[in-house]
Amino acid sequence: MARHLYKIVGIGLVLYALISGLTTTLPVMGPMGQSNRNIFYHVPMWFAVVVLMAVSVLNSIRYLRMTDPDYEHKEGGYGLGITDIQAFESAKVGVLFNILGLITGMVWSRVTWSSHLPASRFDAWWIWDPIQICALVSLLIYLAYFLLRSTFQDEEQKAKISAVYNIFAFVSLIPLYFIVPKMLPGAHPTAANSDAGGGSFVMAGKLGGDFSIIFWPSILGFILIGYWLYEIRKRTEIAKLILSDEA
Amino acid sequence: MKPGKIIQLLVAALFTVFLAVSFSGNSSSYTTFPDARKSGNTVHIVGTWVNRETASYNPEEDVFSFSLQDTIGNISPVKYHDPKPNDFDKAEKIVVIGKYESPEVFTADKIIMKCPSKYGDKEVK
Repeated sequence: MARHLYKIVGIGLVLYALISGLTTTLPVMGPMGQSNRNIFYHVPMWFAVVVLMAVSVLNSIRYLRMTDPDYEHKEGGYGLGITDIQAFESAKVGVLFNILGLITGMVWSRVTWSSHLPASRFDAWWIWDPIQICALVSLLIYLAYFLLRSTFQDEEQKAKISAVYNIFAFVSLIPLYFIVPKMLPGAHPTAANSDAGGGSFVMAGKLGGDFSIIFWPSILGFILIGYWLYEIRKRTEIAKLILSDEA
Repeated sequence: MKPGKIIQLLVAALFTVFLAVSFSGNSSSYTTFPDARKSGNTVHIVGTWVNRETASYNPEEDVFSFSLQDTIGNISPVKYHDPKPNDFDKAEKIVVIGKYESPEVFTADKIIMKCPSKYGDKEVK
């Protein structure tokens, strides 16, 4: 039961964010209209990305430590393979949330920043805002990680080299998510030129009570659902690894 | 390498080139009206819509003209080759992307409504 608890909490919080986030009466904010509710879904997805990529890089570091000849392996003999699977699968789910975050952002961009443009125009959906560019670059960095992995035949070589790459990939997220978009002016509310102290972390201090009470639980909910997806993917791949070994 | 891998790498390379080209075509910095006038380059300018009563739309030329005040207080007339955007009145801040085609009037190719940055309890008008 205890090991299922986080799944139940995750479902509960995301359901709460969906139901409450769409039905509560919230202040209407200028041209955003009712679309400001997207803050409960679009922003938490990026939190899930950061957490999943952190899980990924921790497993990559662990993998590299385990290749140390002095490392004491536990019984079973699957340690290395499993650690590599954990790094790969959490990055996969992270990329899923990255793509979802980009899509929810594009829809939001279309109805707020550029609602006056016809939907057929690309710039109605994408304005090359600094945060958009950084998010897209982070997606490409992780797609390159998958591409890198796919070029190796030898499992050990694949795991080792991609673990090293993954550390660089995660480190790149720090400027891409937390530094560059906060320093440059842009259309996002956290951009440097926003009123009320732009450049802050997420919406710190700018989020009224009506929003906070749904926003923060939603973040935890999306992280937990993301982690659950990763758990499912991981267990499937570990089962495949063990079965292919026995066959 | 398998042919499949080569195709994947080619697609990745093509996408990177596409990204670089479209990014460099769209990148321009945020600045103010005097700097934009001096440089003559395509720039982003954030501002608030002022002198609202003087704004007008000319349906024959399809030009919407209005005044924008940038963040350091300079006011400049701006023209936009489209009708007045929806929600233009409600936007807290407006970003115009364009350049001075004549020394007097800033020509906006694109307009972006900047979102309010406060998700407050009170309604933002």
